[in-house]
Amino acid sequence: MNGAVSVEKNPWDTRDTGKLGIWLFLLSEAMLFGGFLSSYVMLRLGSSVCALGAPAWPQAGYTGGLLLATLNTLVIITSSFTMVNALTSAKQSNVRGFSLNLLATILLGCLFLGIKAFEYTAKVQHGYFPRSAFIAANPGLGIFVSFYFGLTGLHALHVLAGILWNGFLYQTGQAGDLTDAFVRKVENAGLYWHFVDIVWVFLFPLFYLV
Amino acid sequence: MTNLIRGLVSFGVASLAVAFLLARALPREAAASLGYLVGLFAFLIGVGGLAAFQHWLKDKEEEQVHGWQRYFRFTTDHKVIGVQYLVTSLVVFVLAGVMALVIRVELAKPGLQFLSYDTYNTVMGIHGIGMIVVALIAIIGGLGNFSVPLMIGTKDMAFPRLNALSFWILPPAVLLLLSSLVTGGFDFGWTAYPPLSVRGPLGKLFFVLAFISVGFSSIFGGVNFVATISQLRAKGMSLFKMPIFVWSILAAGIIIVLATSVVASALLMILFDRVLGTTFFDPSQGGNVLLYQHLFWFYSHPAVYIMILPAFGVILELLPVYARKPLFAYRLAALSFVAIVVLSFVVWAHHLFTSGMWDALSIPFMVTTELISVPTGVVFLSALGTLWLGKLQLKTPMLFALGFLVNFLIGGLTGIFNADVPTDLHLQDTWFVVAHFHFTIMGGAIFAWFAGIYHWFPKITGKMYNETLGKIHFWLLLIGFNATFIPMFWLGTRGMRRRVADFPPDLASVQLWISLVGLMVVLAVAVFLFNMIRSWVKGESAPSNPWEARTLEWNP
Repeated sequence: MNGAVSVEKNPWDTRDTGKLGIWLFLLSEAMLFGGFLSSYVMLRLGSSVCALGAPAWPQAGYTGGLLLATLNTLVIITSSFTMVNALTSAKQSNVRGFSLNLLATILLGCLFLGIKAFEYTAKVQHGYFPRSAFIAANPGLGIFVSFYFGLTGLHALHVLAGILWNGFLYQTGQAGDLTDAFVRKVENAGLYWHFVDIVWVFLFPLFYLV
Repeated sequence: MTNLIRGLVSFGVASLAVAFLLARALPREAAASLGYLVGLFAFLIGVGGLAAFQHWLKDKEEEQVHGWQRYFRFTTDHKVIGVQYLVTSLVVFVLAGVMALVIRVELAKPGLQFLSYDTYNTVMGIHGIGMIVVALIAIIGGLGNFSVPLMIGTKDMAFPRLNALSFWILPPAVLLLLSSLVTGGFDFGWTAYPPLSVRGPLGKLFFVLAFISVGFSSIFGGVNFVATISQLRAKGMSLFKMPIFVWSILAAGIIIVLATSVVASALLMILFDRVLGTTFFDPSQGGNVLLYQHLFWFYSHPAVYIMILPAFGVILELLPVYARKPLFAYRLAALSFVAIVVLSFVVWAHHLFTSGMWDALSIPFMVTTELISVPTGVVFLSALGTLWLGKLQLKTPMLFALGFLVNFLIGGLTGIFNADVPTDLHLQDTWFVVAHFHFTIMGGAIFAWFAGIYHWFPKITGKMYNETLGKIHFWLLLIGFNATFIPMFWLGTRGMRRRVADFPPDLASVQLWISLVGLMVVLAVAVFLFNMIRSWVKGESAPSNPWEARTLEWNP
């Protein structure tokens, strides 16, 4: 293969199998979250207590989650921005810029998980978890908290995986040798990270706003 | 060999140690799940996966290992992985076959012989899920891994390390599944419907974890095949110049990528219900058990096309070779694979006609299900058109291909009665269904698998198999299989229920007949295994292209 002719090609015709692999994997991931999300929507449509439009959380008397979740939305969208910056720096062989931005992405990811943990703790203290006494008194909410912890937990695991992935790249990038192959790896990690970000963009309205 | 043993020991020690250690602090189910997870990683490190991971980080090429030892360790050569898949499939095939034998002994007479109702269902469940795994991996993982890169003219799969990973996830999953026999078993068959699956012994948790692991393995494989076939074809090999077998693997790969993670969501819900106490399937807490059936069949119906599309591919690949004619209507056959992929996603609810689903959904799903017979019919016509006026050479692979056509025709035609709502209301959950899917999966996918093994045996081993033994295998299996499963249709119409270890005395003679002729199938498989092992060890050397086939893998 001749590397010199790889300018301005159709992005779908790059013979970059790695990128195609990531896209296929993300397609599969989208179906995983799709299975959960569509189940959630269907079951809430069929439930009188927490049907879409009937605000389940505020009704039950605790709204702290919305504020934390809004903050988290800002955090994770910012982290997508720093991820893009890291990729751009890597493409320009700017080791310092790459490292700082990737480090920022990792730290923002950790901040996201920290806020999430704080939010979980608050919810558990208020009795918002499956099979608690509070849920037993409001049985329709059981399915809501199940999906809430199931989906946000699954998403948090994905964030954790992204942090680890970026961590490996950060470590490798410290050597200062930003080869083409390495830049492609950063791009692939970025695609995954943006996907995780987008999943949150779906979770946020579905769990906190409707 | 040392790598495999190291892996197995690490798996056993790590999973048990972690599980028992955590069991002091955590609930039993959580401790067991985490123990398995740690054990899985320990196994992968033990078989040599850590080096591959480090090479991936540092962009280093994998060094190729030679000699027979490479079959027992983490290696990235697609041909080695293909053989690993083939042998593993055979091992699981025999294990699950032994379970079938146990079932037949139990059912030889009315009343309970030596199994309890629950143990019977566990044995039946292990037979079922074991054979499902075989049907999922045997052709794609085995023959696909070996042949596809050669057929499209590339050096290896797109992601060789991922390829090895997707194979090496399987052994721990199979071990976990088998260990459910001593941890209470699972009495829900291979479908794990709640509420039965969200309560009860640890064995059920093991089933769920093993299922999710196999799902991961399958997704990695699917991603790999789609990426390989769409990106790494030799120059000049456009889509419509690909061998039809490659088309079938591509089609199956697309289904794997799109559908598998949906069933993962369903099994994760069961896992969460069991381990974390969520209430997805607890109606008293707003959960819904039908939800599981929808998510489960959204994958598990397309999954039968993951099994049968590669089988179609093998058959359409082989028929032209042994009929000495080009494939008839190649382009239409390839397009009908695509049509099957699309339609397979809109038929799942035909498994729910009697489950209490909204009635208005029945007719649309009946129609879409029967629509699938159109592209399937095109595949059949393509096969028959290839045979028409051909110079048929009745070698063993060809015999199996012809046997496939007979069996799958019976399987397909009886499927109509399951797809039709009025008849299905009576046939649902009877042995009629059992007979139907054995004709499609065993008579179809497994026959095609045997055809493919015989066809590519000279390529894989460099030796010729024994033709006489091959033919004995074929006739024993064809006659034994049909004699075993055709009476099951009749039993089903007489009301013989699935998942029950007992039956009324007036069915006794037919049940005894099935148990006896079932031994022919056992004998056939024994002849096959003997032939394979003997020919591999001391068969005569094969010429480079014994069938005068025209696909690239036979190029010397």
